[in-house]
Amino acid sequence: MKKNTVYATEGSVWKSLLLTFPMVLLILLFISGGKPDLTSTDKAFAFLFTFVFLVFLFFQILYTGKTDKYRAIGFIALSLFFALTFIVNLVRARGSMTFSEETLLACEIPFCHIVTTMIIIPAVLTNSIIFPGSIIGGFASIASMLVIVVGVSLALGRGFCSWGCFYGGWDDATSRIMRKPKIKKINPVFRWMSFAVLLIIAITAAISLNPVYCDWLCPFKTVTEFEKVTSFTVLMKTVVFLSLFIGLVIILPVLTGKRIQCATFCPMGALLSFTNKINAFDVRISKDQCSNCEKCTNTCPTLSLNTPDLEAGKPSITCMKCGKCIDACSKSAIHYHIRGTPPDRNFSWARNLFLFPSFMLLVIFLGGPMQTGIMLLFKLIKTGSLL
Amino acid sequence: MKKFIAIQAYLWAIACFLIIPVTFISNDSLASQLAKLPFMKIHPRYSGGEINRSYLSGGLQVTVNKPVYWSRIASGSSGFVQVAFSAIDSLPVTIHENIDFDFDDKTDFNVLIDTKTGTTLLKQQNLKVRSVDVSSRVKNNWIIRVNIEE
Amino acid sequence: MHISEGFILGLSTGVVCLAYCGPVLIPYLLSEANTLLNNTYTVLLFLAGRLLAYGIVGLLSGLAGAKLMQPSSGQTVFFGILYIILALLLIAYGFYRFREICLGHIRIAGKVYLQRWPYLVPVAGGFATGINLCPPFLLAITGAMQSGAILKSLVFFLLFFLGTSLYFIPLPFIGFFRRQQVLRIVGKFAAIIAGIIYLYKGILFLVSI
Repeated sequence: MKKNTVYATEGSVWKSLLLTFPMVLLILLFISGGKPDLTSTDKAFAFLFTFVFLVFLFFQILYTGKTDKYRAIGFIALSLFFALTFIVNLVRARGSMTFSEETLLACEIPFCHIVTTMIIIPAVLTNSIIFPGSIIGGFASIASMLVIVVGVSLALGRGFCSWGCFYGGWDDATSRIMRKPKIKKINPVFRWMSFAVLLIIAITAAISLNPVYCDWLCPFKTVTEFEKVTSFTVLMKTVVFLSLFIGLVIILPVLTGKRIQCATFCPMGALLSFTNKINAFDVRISKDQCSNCEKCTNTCPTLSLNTPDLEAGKPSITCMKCGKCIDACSKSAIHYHIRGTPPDRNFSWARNLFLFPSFMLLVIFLGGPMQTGIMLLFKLIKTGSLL
Repeated sequence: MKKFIAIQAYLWAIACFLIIPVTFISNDSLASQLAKLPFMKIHPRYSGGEINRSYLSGGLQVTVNKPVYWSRIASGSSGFVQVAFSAIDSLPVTIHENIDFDFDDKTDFNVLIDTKTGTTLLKQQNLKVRSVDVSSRVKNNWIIRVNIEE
Repeated sequence: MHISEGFILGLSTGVVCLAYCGPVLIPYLLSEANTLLNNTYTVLLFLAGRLLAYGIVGLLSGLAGAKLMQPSSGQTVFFGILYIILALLLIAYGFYRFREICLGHIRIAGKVYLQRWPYLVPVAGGFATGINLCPPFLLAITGAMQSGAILKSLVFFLLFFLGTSLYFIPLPFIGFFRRQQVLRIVGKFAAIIAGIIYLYKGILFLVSI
């Protein structure tokens, strides 16, 4: 069996530059939309900075052979800039982060990918979408978001959770705050809790015709928008989502070093796990090279890699393809792999074929918010206000 | 056979590489196609239901929607009827209107709305009418949803 | 509790039912080494046993509920407290391990009758698992009693049965058995989450007095 433990671009500037070049063109295309707006110094700087930042990240992923370290920088930046631009736009349009009855009546609530888990069964039963959003047109319309969900699921499976989800960067960031986690051992069965959440919310949404996760549970309402408190029930809902944000997105990831919200609670993650079965890419462990040091199982932020998985040679279906285990392995025994090809060969090909669509997804989601966010920060520095 | 599967696998991997840009570049056209599918409409519970009749009354355009009953898997008998008041310029300070939502020429309820404060008084004249669910300004309209039972 | 909630209670806790009925039924299906058609027949017999159990309990719950359901604040307090207790039991159930019934024992015990009527084995197994007083079942009894009428109680239990039975559909395809341990874990978490929801409902009952 051919052993190939080093990627072709690793340590080679020229090979890395060569492979970065096509991504440079793609980055230029996606962050400019084909027509870069350089009408002011601020805009030009924001564009240039975003461009250089993304090119740098991709080059470093190729040159150093480390995926997760640089992916995480971009992924965390995505969550931060997305929240910043979303909140500022809301405050400009409505005066606050809250939405009122007017927004609900006008069906102007942006459709987020997590809602997908709750609309499938009701769509079959009632032939309609149980969400107060716009079908087409406007920001985050239902049709456009569903197209994105389907496309990304097919292309990356649960890799979306590590390369595209604009919420995941929050607990990716908080899970890295402490070098040595305070809580070291977590029972891996907790990775299945998100499936129970998916089951309950899908069923209750179908019965009540209400997107219950959005209504009651979504912790990321804290960094986007939420219902104005006008009754005891809404107050309860606010307490619930705030508590979940503080608990699952801040406290537990800091203490455990794991992405607790994504791994144990997110129903969309559970749904996307099933798409991992049809996706082209997965992660494989070479049993010949694995020394069973279990660095990877301790490092995995989503509880997807445990001792039985090492024996099986691959992580469970909950793997988010973040690359953290690959970076952690000192024996280079773990690699991205193309399902259906021999597991111990052509690591470079598999890695590069995975990196292109996944990094492209990060570029597409990060490009706009990052440029807008940089200009907002300039505005803050110059005028003292973001609005 | 193994080689054939491997080739298919690489082709699928390359296809995944193409799916991402296609998803975003062609998002508008793909979304328009998706929007034409029969299930791609907002449930009446959120959209307010289909428009039943629209008429002018005292300078206001009154739009009465069809009653919306959303039932659970076993039969449910409650719902709401949405009425929208639209003005060309600006909404009057008060809206006082008799509404006949089933168009049997009998008033089902009377509403008095203070558009400054949002205070809404409902006088039921049909036993099916229960209470005001929602009463709110939406852009240059005022929309109320009144709970009813079948 | 609206009678339609029988279905949701069945769906949300049915994974647990499968996880605990599965070890009863699946070894039996495997040991019989039958065709898909025969396996389907066995599963249907098992479900018939469960339906019989649920029907009897539904009838008894309806009778009890008809006696109890005089509208009063006392009744609201009674059901509120009952929901809270049963919700806590459901949550505890999510953390606890239960011993399973073995169809082999039923077969040995009923040796005499089974020689003439072998189909009684899955029916008896279904009946025995059906009257297992697990917290979802107790919540279903409470919900059925609350309906206050025998017919509504029977309908409630029928919907509960249908909700739980959906998970049995793949059983004739024995390969599903491989994921049984994961299913049990998901079921336990689902029981805990469902318990929290019913705890909230029970508290609302008390608060609404």
